[in-house]
Amino acid sequence: MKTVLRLLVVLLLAILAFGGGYWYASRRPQLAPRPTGVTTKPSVVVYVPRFVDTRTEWEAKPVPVGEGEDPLRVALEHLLITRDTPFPQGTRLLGVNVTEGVAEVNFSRELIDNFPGGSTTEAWIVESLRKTLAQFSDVERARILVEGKPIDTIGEHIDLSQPVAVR
Amino acid sequence: MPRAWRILAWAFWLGVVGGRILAQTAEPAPPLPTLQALRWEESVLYIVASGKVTFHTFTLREPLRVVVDISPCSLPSEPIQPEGDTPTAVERLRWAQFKEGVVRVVLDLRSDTQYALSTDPSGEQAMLALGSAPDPQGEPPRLVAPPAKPAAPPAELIQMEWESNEEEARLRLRLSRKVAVRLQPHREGYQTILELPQVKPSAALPADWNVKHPLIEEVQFSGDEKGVRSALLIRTTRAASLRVEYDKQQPVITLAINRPRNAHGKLSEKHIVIDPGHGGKSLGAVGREKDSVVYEKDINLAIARRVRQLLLKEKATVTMTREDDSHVELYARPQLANDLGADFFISIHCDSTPKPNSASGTTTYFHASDPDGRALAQAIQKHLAAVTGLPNRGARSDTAIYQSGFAVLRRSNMPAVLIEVAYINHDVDRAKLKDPKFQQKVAEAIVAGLRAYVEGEREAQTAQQRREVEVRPASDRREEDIPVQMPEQL
Ligand SMILES: [Zn+2]
Repeated sequence: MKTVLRLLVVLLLAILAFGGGYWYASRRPQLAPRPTGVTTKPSVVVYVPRFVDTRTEWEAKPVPVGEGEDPLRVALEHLLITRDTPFPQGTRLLGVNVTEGVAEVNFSRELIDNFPGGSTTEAWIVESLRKTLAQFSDVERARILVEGKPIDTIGEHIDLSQPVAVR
Repeated sequence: MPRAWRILAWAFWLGVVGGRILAQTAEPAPPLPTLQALRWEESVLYIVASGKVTFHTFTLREPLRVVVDISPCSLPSEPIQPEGDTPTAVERLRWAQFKEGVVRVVLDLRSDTQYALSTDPSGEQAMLALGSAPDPQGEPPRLVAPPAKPAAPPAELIQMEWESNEEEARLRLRLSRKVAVRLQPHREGYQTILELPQVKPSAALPADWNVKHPLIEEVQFSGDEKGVRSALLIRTTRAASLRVEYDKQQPVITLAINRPRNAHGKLSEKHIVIDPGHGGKSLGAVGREKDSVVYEKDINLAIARRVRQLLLKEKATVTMTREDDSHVELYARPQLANDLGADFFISIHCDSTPKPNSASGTTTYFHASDPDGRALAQAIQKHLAAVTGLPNRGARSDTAIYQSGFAVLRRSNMPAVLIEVAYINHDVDRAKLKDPKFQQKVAEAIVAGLRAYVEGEREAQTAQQRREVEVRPASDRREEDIPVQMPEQL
């Protein structure tokens, strides 16, 4: 009798253990966050051109944005000094203002005074600016200013008399 | 009671194993997110998944490659077609189901390239930016505007037929749905490519496309069965205007080929405005040598004077926007041609790049997708390319390099071109530009191109004379693309 009782208890415990095992195994697998080496710290991209045969290829260069910095300013300032920038030597960003989708980008005199010439160079300057501005969703068009005054052209090739669409 | 414990342990083990089997049959695993799209935008690769995934990136050497592992993720049933142009730094883009739940994307690199990967907050997209990060601590960029585009199935080209009269050749293309097409001049001669992206030929499409028309030498169709990119190569017998017309209701596109504007009569009857770029205080580009400098404005004027000389000999009417080294306002130049009601506007320039010796060759620009300007640019570029001994960079749209285009072309009412004879900051090009013999050859070619536009080529091209070119839509589809505007209601 004692043996039967003991067997029953063991059997009961076995059934409980089976149930527990089933419950343990059938839990939804937890998708634990994996370390990926990927960070999503805010940064911006600037674009610089180069020729590959006769076609222009654009290189995207990531630029980190520091705490409390304006990403738009960071991008434009970096575009002026980054390696392979098409912008003339010494060009500085005096300011940038976005009103109703139009970015008024104010550069120093060097943009025109130090412009080395060539429609390729001129197109690359405007195009790198356009591409760099296109990542900011609040910018639809751009107007280039030199020392606060809108300009018609940088180097007498490209028509800049009207704001230009950035995308 | 060690025996009882043993039984208990066995029962638990059986429970775990049995339970796991039972649980799997009872509750199917939720479907994994799939890899949806791979898209190049310049040197940035966008990787798009159908759900929240994690991206893990690392580098492997010999051969050099960047790997992106996406998990949990599987490949979709439909094969993936990467969009956009692979940048030159990347030899090959590959992807595969690496193991269960992991899709691996591999970029085979030609050389050491820095890269940065960042994920979209949704966890469904990642952006892999290639290129030298400017900062040593080089933090990856954030995905600012995720431009995910759903891929539509390719349209079928059902029918092509000519409807021509003596004046005009018209090719009607009937498609299974509306698509946007592009017209693009080929680098060589009077050849234009009509690009049909996302179009595949239908099985019923007849094979013979040649038509007898005085304007047309040959038309070649290159059908892409995969429907990524089909194309038509149109060879005309002379400089011709090609236009694309979209039917407002039906998915029908008509390519209209005509004699361009002011292409009747004789060159001697025409009034040509020649515009030597820059002048006076505006130097244009500067070519620097050991102990001297060469100004673009001077070369432009020298060539322009020779063009005038030759045109006057032809008894044509010529006006110069500047006769000497004086400064003329940019917008006054096309205005002068408009006020005179001139037939042609020819602007002469020399190009320059930020880095010396980085580019060489001759380009003739026309405005946007103006069919007459394109025809004039093709005629002049054809003759220029034959004499400069420099790389032929082709007739190109000015909006291919910058969207608003060149001021003098945008604002002139007549067929107009801007010629970039050569690169003044390239040693080979500059040596030629300074040479009076070269200047004369260039001037003669410009006049020959003008004459060919007005009067036609002196002797018709023969199949033997012209250089064979293949229709290479994929590799030609670059920034030279001239998007043909779609009707607004599309
Ligand atoms: Zn110029």
